[in-house]
Amino acid sequence: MNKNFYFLIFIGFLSATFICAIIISVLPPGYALIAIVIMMLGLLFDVIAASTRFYAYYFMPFIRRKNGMVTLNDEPPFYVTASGNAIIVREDENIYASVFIKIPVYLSSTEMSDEEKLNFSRSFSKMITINSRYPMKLASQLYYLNKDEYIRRISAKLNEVEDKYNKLKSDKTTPDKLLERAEGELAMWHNLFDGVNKSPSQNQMAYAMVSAPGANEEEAVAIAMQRAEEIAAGAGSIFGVSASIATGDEMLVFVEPEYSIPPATISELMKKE
Amino acid sequence: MSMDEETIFRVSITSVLALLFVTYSAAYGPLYVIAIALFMVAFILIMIISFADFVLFPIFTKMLKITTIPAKDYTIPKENDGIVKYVNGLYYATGYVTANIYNYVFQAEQMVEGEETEMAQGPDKWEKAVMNIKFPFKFVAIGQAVDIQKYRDDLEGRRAYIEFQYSKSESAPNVSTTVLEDLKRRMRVLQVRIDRLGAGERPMSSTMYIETTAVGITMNDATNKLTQQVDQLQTVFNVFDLNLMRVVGREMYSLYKLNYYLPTMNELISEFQFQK
Repeated sequence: MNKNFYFLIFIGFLSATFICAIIISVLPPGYALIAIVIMMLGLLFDVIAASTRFYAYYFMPFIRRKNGMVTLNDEPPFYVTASGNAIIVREDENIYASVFIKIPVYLSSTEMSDEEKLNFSRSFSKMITINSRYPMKLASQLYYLNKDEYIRRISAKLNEVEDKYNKLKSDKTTPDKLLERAEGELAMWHNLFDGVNKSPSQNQMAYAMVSAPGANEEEAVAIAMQRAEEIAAGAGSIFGVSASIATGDEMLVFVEPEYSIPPATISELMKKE
Repeated sequence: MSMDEETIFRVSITSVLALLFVTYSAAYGPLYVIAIALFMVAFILIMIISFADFVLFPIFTKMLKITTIPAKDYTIPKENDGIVKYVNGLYYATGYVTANIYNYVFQAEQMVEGEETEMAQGPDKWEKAVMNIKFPFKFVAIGQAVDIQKYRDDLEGRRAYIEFQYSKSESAPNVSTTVLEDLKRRMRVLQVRIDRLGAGERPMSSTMYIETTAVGITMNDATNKLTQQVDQLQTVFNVFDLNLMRVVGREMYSLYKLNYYLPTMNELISEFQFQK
């Protein structure tokens, strides 16, 4: 539903209020109670008309609610393009494509002089005002790393080292020095495996997001991509880093909550609690 | 509290219409007092809906026990203070806190000295804050540069006016040193801003907020943890001297949608009551 329709709802309720006011004006004296009832109705319409400023989108779903559930949208909030580098949203009659740009800034204030700190803050201001044609989102996100793959690699390596150690141990001709070395290697991988499971690892990443409307998906994606490339070039020159377009899972970390708290980390979080 | 033109237009029309009812005093006879009371209630409601709807809407959804479904797998509980996603048997509750830090650039009308010192302290404060947070969050700034020439003209106009006030105060018979100092300070601040424009900084229109997500095995568990996280964020980010308010109701829904696409800056500005 578009803004014109919402405005029509506003006009509709205003008209209803006005009709109530006219009815009261033509009521003959002696009908005070009826006048009050009509006034209440008219004021109710008036308040509803005022609420259309921000809540017009809520009206129809509210009327259609079932068991206290107001459904604004029963579709997923977005879908990822086939190329995996943008998300598509349908809002009212428009199609929007959004693209995310990773800005890997690895600087710490402890390594900066006062002047560098001031310049860094100014860079942040410059980054936000990098363009005047469309809004841009600049964010810094702290999220849990998905260590599934990392843990799998360590676990595979641990098994391999364990096999090697067992073989050496069962072989009576193995020199003590070699066995000792294999034992040390095994202990190292065990420690690494235990350590990686102890607490969830976090990562902080800065990113920018730009959106573009389009008549169709391809057009929206093409415009958003062009904007994203401009932003990436600007971010590169302001912060002196290599900014790039996020794709696939690394893009979803910025959008979906389950990617910023991966299921693999939840048991660790629960244990910690 | 700031008002946009559309809100003023709607408030004016609805208020005038409400007022129309009390002009027919003869129709209500002895019940006129009730009519006046009803008008007052309607007027207050119109004002709250138009300028502070975040107070009323959560009360409304709580009273009617309304849960909103903003998209598939997402739920806004009746308290309207978080958005919960149900996925893989877990509940992820997301909440929002306002955090406009741009007092030191171009947005704020009040003139503050020592902005440079504050800016230089920014990276240190940020690192300390992040080190104290052990859960996922994101600090988001949505901005767009505004017309630089218009802004420069405005600043220069204001400086010229203050200069005029200064020369007038200086030639007055009873010269107040406090007034002169204040005018001098305001001129300095304006000059710094004009110089910054010359150095390449651009005036901007912005909205800033913090988003955080908590996970739980039940919806209550997730929303309770979310409240704890929001409280912690409000404590930790207090060092920035920000107005840290938990966003509820319609504006929370608008912020949730900003995860997926950004409308134009004008549309964005007209959506927010306590962010501008």
